Amino acid sequence: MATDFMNIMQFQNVRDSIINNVLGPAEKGRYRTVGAQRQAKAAEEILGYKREIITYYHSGDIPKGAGSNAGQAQHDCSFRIELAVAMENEANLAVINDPSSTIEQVGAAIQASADASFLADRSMDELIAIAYQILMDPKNYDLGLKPGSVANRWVSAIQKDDVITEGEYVVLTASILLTCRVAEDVVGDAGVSGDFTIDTVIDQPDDDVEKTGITTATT
Amino acid sequence: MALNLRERSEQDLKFSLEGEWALPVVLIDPDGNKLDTNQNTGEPLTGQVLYDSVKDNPQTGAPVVTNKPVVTLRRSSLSRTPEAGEKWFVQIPVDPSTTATLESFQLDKERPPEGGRSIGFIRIYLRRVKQS
Repeated sequence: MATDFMNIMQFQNVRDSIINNVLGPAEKGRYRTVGAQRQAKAAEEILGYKREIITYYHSGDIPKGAGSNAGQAQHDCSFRIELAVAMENEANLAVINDPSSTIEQVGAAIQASADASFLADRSMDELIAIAYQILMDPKNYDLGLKPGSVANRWVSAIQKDDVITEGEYVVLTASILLTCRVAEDVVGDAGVSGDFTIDTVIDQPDDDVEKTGITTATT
Repeated sequence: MALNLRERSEQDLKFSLEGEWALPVVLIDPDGNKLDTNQNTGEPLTGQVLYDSVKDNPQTGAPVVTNKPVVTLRRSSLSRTPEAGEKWFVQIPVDPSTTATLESFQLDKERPPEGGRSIGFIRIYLRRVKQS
């Protein structure tokens, strides 16, 4: 939800830059970049080369140090890069369906058919390799921001999940943990000047305890 | 000698599986041999075809109707039956008509054929295949 006045922290700039300056431009038809967590999706949406890379801020450590109160705060950010692929079985149907194909040709086509879970596994490995190479590319050291904005960029963990069958498709997900360090300016928050204000005080005229809505029983 | 109850049930599959509700089915074994003839009658092989099946979504537990056909055949009509782990293809009509074009599906690796040996039918689960 956007507000009239909002302080953008550096981790938000990094998140947007990973999506718009690092992963987005490198898609080249191999995957799609999504910039927020999604609760659910149809397997068909991520079928084949429509596989997705979803980036979002996951967690952060802000260690307290000398001068922290007066200057910038050091923010060790963790971003989750989630990968999702879906595949279906593949075979040379042109040969299998052709009545003029010989038994040997049909048998060879059947033996060469590929299982969806195998294809999903290979597709995911390829996507992990692509994402890792992009994120760890020396030219992306600053994750698409101006030099000096980001330090200690590092892919620290890769996790591949179990294959899930969704109807006629097989879905496989994985995640990459990307960590980096940024400096956060603490400029305070001036609040939002809205068109109206909401009175949050509970004011009940007959309430002897006043404004709480709670009375105390007396004996 | 009179047939026992199971034998009679097996005989009834001629009507329940291969009767007027039946549709043409062609099995293709892993070697490429087509099984398209009923061993009992010598006529084209037929069976029961259900185009959609219901499965529970493992993440939500909600039932999902999926386009994964299920075919049930009379065992005695087949010269060979699919076994779990084998790569079989099954051709069924694209729509429930005896004259419709046949479409190829693959045996679902995750759901092996269900036995039914006690009565004599086999239920096989299919998965859609894309042209490679």
